Amino acid sequence: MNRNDTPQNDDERTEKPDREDPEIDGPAVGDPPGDPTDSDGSVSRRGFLEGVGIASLLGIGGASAVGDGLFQMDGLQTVDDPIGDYPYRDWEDLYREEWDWDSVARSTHSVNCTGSCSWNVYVKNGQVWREEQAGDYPRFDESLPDPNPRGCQKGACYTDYVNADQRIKHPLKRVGERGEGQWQRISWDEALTEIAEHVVDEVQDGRYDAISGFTPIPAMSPVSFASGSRLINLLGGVSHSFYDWYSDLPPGQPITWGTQTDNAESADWYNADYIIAWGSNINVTRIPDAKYFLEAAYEGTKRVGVFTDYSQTAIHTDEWISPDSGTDTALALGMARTIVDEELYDEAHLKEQTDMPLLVREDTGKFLRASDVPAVETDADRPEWMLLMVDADGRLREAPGSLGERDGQKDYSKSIDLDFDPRLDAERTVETTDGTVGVRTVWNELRDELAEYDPETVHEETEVGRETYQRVAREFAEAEKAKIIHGKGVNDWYHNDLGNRAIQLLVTLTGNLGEQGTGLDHYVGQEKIWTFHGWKTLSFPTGNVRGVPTTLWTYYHAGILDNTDPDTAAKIRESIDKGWMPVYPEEREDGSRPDPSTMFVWRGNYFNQAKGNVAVEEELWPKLDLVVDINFRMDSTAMYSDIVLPTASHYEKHDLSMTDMHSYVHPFTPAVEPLGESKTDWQIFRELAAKIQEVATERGVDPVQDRKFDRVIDLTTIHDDYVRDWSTDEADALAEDRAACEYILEHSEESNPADSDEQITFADTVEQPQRLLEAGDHWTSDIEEGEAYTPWKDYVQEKNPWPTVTGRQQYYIDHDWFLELGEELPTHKEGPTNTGGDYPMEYNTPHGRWSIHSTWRDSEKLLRLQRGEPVVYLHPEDAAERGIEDGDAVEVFNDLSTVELQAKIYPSSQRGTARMYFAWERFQFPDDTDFNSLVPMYMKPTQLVQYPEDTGEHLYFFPNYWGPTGVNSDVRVDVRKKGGDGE
Amino acid sequence: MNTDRNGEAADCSGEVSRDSEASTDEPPVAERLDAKRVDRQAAARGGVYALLAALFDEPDESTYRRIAAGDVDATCRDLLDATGLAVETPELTVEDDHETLCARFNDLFTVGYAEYEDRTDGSLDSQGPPVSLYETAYRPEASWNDVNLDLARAYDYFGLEVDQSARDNHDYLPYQLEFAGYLARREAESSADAARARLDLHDRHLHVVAGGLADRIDEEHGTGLYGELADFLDRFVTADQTALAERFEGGDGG
Repeated sequence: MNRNDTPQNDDERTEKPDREDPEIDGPAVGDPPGDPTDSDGSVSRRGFLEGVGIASLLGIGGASAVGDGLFQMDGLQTVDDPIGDYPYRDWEDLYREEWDWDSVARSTHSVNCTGSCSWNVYVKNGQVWREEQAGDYPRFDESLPDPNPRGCQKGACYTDYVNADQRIKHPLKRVGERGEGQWQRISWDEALTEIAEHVVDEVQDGRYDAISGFTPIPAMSPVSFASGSRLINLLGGVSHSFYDWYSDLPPGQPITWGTQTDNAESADWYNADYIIAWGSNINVTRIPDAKYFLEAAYEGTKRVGVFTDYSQTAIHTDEWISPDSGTDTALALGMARTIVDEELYDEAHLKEQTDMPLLVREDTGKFLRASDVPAVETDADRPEWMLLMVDADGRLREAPGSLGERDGQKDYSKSIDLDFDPRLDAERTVETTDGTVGVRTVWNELRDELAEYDPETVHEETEVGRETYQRVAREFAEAEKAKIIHGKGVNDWYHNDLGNRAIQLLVTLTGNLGEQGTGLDHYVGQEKIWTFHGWKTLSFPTGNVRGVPTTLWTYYHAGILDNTDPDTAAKIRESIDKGWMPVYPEEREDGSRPDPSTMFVWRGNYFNQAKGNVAVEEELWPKLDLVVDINFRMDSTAMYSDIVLPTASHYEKHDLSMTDMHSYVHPFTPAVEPLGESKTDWQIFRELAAKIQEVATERGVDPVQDRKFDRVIDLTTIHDDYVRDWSTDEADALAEDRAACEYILEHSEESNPADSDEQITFADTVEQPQRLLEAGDHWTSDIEEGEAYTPWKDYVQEKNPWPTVTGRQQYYIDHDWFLELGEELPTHKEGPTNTGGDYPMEYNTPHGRWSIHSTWRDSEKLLRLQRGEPVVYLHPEDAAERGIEDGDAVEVFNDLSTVELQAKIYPSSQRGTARMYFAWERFQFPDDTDFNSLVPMYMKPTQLVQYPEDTGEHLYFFPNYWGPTGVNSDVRVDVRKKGGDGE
Repeated sequence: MNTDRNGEAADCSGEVSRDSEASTDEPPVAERLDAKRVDRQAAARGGVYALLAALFDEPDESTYRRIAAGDVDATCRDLLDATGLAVETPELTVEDDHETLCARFNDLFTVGYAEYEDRTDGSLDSQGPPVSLYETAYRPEASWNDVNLDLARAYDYFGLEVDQSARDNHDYLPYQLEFAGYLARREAESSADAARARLDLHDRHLHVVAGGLADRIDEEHGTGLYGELADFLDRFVTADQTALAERFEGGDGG
């Protein structure tokens, strides 16, 4: 039955009216009056065949009170004349007509796998039957392997989801407890009205900042991302970060390079002479790109793998190094020491491109600033941020491009080009406003730090052979073009920033940045969208974004302040009080802070993926009065929501797809109509906006002045504002999904460069994936014809200041908190102890082969390729000690929870690790636990800072650029056989 | 080639024409149906299938009131009496309130998540709700494509298509029931061809899903109306299939 009675656009499919109006009983007896029987008792043949008139014809209407509505065909409809002749002899007759596809549509998948692979989708009779890699990415460099085809086994069976039993086909409202699984179908109008009434209440009561919208990764489908974000933005609500929350963000990159992340596209791997895959399980998590890694071997490229286990990628490398888990930092710093001690470093690069020649005060640990030294004359506006070097003659010199002479974080009007030769090794005294002060270069500070990592220490810490790691360090330094592919594993640790910084140091020391075949490529998710400006203005039309670091927001409202160590709690409070990190709802004038009340989740599985899962369920979730999930399947978040709205699958909508693994843009197009009553994300939020406007207008509400921004929130025009093109003020311009796609392409430098007549339109992308034309300000190199994209050329080749305080790659951070914690330079530290309790094993949750996060975790086809249920991988000796055999049901447990799994004996593992490839859904565990149930809330205080503390040009909260990461690899657990006495 | 309206092929070429306009010697087809000339048993069976198709959907308020008032039960009995089939009548009544009945329907048939079949070997019913309304779920040996293609061909051949405004898969049980009802009504207005096609539909599809669904729902607790409905579906389909088989093949249609 179709209950869709919300407003439709003209070009939308026509929809049959409700079979029955819920408010009106059908006819009490027999057929509806006047139709289909005539007064002579005859029945319309057509109507009869379609199910109308049966009761009348059989004369049973008088005996019962069922109207014809119950008999009428509803799902099938006649296309030809039903009273025509359909001779039939046997089933073979049905197969005499030659098979041909009705249509083939181009689409892709919105699952944050980094793939962004273009597929052809084959349609017959309004149904998707199969998909196939499109295989038509244009080549831009004939010397590189063909980019085609792109796609993996998950994408090849997405049709299963499109046609799956578990598709949500109708709006559903919870009629039991959250998570209980009791649902009632409601009409779109009922659903949208209920949500709209609630939202209007919240906004009019000033609690607009209690309304949250969580959706990750714009690049994987920016229009769908923008759909809800646009509405949330217009409501004055809160948009959540995701890259940091998922610990995909490598904090070392904003710290050192002042950039969220910037990577070479995968084709550039082929240009390298030496590649270290550092925890990046390319053969599992980068399937469409792995060929560049594998085929590079044919060019003589040496490929080294750094993995704690003998992973699916390790087996294909030339050399495998296996540090103890959590010791990557020590290994990297040991390698750095080898490079430094053996003078294999790129001195020119260090002098020009890094903070190594900068002077640091020995009394305070702070950089020596021009404002500290009366003898230094400076023209800079902010002498306190003009940093100093010593030149070959021993004179103090300002470091060009320091923040003090720049206009903000990124200022290409300045240069770091040096007209003098700074000393790397300098140590002296300086007359300052505080008297005589000893100073020395960052380089010398670094050498002192690296001195700690002698071969014996590194071996003891990492268990990597003394000669082995030193040899690899030498080879890396001596290679003409060397590259590190950095995986997510390092990011999952509490000291992820230190790990990142140490590994980054290797490419910096060797000058492997800013040209093809070099760099540190960190690929975790499609975090960075090429068409940035178009996406941003579509998602946040007001320009005033109430962004929030999701780790902090989640843990704050889940009660971390009462469940963490006093120092961390104090630093969280200080960060919030100083305005370094925002938390919403914001504190009111009377000092109170309301709870969050409303949460919209779409394109993500927030509840399932939430670390601190027990606290999220017990503390945060009850605070939410309304949780709305927009989904095509009943995932864990949907299950724990109040209203679930059915959304179109990836083959049922218009959108765009991009990734930093390649430099193309290509589309989603609707191969088929959305299943059941489902609608696209854009449609859903647009219609919700219309309903909010309708409710607000009926109530006659007044606009609300935003507490933080200079704008009013006017709910009586919110739909008009939603569909209005704010750049041209054209009304109704963005009513349709495709128009939103065109908007993004039209308003992005990458697809519509300002200095060119060339423009990529949506139709172009449907024709063939299009290589983007330019790289906008969001990127650090140009897109060049005939070359794979490689970052950092703006700085390394063009000599623009890096967007850091020093204007250089910055390994020394003189923020008070970093100094206090001894982390001004990268250093190896033990993580927090007893996270989750005092247990002997580490808990590790890497990305798996047979799913993209929780998507495809419930795919029967893919479950058949594995064990079919949540599995923990155990080293044989760990298993034997516990009396566990392969296939046993076991419990992984710590102080927080107990999770039941099947044991898989995994000889490729190191001892002491309980490894569970995530992200199984809650309902796949027997006790409704979750892989995150074992993970407590914890976060690193240094990721709460602003730097500089007062102005924050370098490190400042910006969603997905800088904020505390949600980490989980420090967690301790043990394993016991289920039913055993392993306690 | 000509075919008469009873579906008997008029030649032996093996070709079957769907183009009624090609039969120039046929009289114009009447637009009104003469109730006296309708096969009442086939019409009633068509009514039962239509009723089943409607009931294997979440009941709206109106439908719920009719179920709760006993009207649906009475209608089903009346229809069943007219089918000529000896099928035990179901009790299509409810004690649940509307909300609970909806929750029961969705819990059984629509809310999908993985459930273990056997944790010792990891086998998992991963693809959805406890009781599927899709035939493919009961055909582990057949591919989704083959099952759906077969049905798509059938709907297409008889001039039907899935309503794209709220589309579902071709193997969706309510579609098959609507199709069975449509074929029965075609038979009722004198097309034996359609009866033959209905038998083939039973043999190839409907008996599989009806039997599978009845077996599967027996394993669930608290099925209420839907347990009764599933059992009735199985009984009715089996009886209709058997009757058609006897008529066309002299067998039981097994």
